Amino acid sequence: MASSSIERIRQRRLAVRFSVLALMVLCFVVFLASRGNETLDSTSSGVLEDGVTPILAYLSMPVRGAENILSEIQARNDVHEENERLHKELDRLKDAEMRANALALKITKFETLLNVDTGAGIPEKKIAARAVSERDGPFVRSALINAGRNKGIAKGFAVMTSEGLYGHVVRVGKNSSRALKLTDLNSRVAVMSLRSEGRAILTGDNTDFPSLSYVSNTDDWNVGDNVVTSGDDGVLPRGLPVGKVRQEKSGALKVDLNVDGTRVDWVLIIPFDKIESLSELLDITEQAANAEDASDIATDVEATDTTLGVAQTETTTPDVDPAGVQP
Amino acid sequence: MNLQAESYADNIPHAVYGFLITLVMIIFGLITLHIFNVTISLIWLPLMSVFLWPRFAAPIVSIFLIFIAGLFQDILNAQTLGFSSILFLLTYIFLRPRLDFDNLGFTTLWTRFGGVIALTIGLILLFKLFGASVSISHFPMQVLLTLLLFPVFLGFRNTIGNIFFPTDRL
Repeated sequence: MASSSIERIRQRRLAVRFSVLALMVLCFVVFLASRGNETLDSTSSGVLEDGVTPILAYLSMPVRGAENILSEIQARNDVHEENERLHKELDRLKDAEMRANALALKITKFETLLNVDTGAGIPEKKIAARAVSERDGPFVRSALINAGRNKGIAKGFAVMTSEGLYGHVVRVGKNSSRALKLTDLNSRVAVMSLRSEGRAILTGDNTDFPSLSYVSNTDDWNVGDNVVTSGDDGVLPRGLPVGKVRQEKSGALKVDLNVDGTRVDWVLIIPFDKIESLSELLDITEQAANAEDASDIATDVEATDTTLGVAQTETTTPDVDPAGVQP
Repeated sequence: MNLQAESYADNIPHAVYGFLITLVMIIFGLITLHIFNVTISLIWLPLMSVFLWPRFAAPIVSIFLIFIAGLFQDILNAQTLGFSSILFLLTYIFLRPRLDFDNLGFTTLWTRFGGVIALTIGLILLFKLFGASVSISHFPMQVLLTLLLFPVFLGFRNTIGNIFFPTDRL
């Protein structure tokens, strides 16, 4: 009796050891296979994140509520100074808005005259959603957003807060999506200096200040320069505010992001038709070239017509005195 | 571990209970706290649950459930799959206090869990040594908060356990 019991326990121990070994091997296989394997990662995660997001939205409400109450208590202490500052800011912004409107009008006119579209416009449509869970773990910096395909979100869309660019969507589920923060190790965004239009790539390195790499010309970058998205990557629209340039003691250029470590609750997702592939880019270039050729041909025809003495079509009224025309 | 105690260790409901508590901790760990303008996520909450996995839970079922919980943790944290599973399994096999909960005082358990966190940090730093870019700036606050929450978790675990298994020692 006792010996059979011991035997059973021995067998069970063996089974446990085998299971542990098998699962550890499986863990390593999954670990190695999922590194950079988007398909493996996204198939399972979409469903799971969709299920958890509504729960998190409810669970995070009291936490966000408590944080809001605390920040309001803090804000009440300096409400007078804040009010004065906001008045000044409002005056400045009114002036800036007026200038911006005038500039926008001027740019539209130039674009019409030159028959080009600079593609500099930030889309008007924005999708508001809540960041229900932010991850600032040792390896990953991302956020779970409680809106997905049901709200028209697609992979690559820019995620903004009122302060500036927060990240971009890397994974979309039915009613949730995952945004990769600018500080994440895998984040790469094409940016430019607003002052000099010098180009660089904003590279996340799991620190609070992402680096500027592939800098076109270091002279183009000064400390304090405003950094915005350049739109060169064809993924994000041009002109989204990112942050300000700062320099490390080592001389490396970094960016002090507008969206710092403070509380992020609501985010705005900006839909943008990204350029999917090089062939699409080539198609666009080809179309532009064709349009240019067509306009060249038209100019050539006009020139030929003029040489041959053919009357050009006038869109304006001929300068004829009606009184001088008598039947 | 004596043979009599080990013969009890075939309790599947206990393993499921441990798994469910771990899932709850994974979800709680996803809630972000903002303290002094620093974003804190409690990544070690599920580890706490694995550390205090029910004593008499069926081991093979437990191992599989811990593996699945680790995958859940990785997916919901957008991490590389498998990392948390390895961490949880190592904790369950080597670091978990086994059948001698009663003989260990609360302070010993607390200190031991501090040790588990230290080992986890060591493992993460190992990745850094191999050239991975690892952010460790939030660790002090995360560790402090997790250790502060340990008694709360223990209370929560025991209360829920007493509801479902009033006669069993978990």
